[in-house]
Amino acid sequence: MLPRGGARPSPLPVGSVAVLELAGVRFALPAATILEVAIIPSYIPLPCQDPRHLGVVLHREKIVPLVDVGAALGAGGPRRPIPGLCVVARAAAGAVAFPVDRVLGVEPLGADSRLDRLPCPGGITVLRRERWAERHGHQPAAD
Amino acid sequence: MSLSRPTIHVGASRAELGAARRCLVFAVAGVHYAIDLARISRVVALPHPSAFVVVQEAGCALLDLRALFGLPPAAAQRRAVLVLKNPGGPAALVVDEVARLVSLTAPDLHALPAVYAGAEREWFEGLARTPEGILVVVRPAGILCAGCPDRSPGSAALAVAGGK
Repeated sequence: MLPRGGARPSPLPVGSVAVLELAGVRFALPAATILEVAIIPSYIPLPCQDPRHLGVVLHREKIVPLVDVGAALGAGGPRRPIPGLCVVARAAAGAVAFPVDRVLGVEPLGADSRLDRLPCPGGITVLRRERWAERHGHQPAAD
Repeated sequence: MSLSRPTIHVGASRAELGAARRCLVFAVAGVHYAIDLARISRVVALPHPSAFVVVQEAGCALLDLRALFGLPPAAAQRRAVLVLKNPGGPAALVVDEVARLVSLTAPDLHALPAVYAGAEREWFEGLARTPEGILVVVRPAGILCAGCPDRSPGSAALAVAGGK
């Protein structure tokens, strides 16, 4: 799940979602849009008007924008969690990275799933529903 | 580059410098920026925040990039001023420190990621990858426009005229 050190990302099942956690809030992202989950050691805090845009990171020789999805999730304002765990995802305008606290797992997405779609900076859309909180428990696991 | 010599005169043209683009690297709040050397007439030290700086025979607006970028004031007393060649008259940027010179070629330069769609697209021309890390390439015209006194709090003072 966490390819590092030059390993190629493993393909994830189509129609599944990765369940993520940020500041105690569980959410999900279509697994097919996730390019990689990696530890990002540093970033460049590019000045900009939108505080959800944290800066840019150099990831696998590419310059990738780093955004904060916390505000869209109701998980608080912009964070400065780098170095830390980030998801690199495919968006309409290219790859976008965003910090997360944990990756809880990957699960199939049923046809009857009732999801809240939350637009986030960088053109990514995350998914929310209560079931993820129930299935993965309310207490954060040890890192 | 040290600021022990308070003034650096820059005379080389782009043609003299060949295909590579010569830029001055400076830092603001730990981020390194590059500015086209051809746009700079000189660099002077700003001994302390309230100092007057004699830069040209005409008045010159001082634009503090920390203020323009919405960053907290600098802790360091001693900073640097980049005096720019500007069609509308000389203008000067206050930065934290001047770092070095760098040559950038086309493969080094990258457009700003598309997610950046605000005023930063006027401030910055793009990003450059160098062996020392990523540089933010500034767009002097966009920064000076944003720093006009009637548009931004970043224009902090007027320098004294009349010196050399």
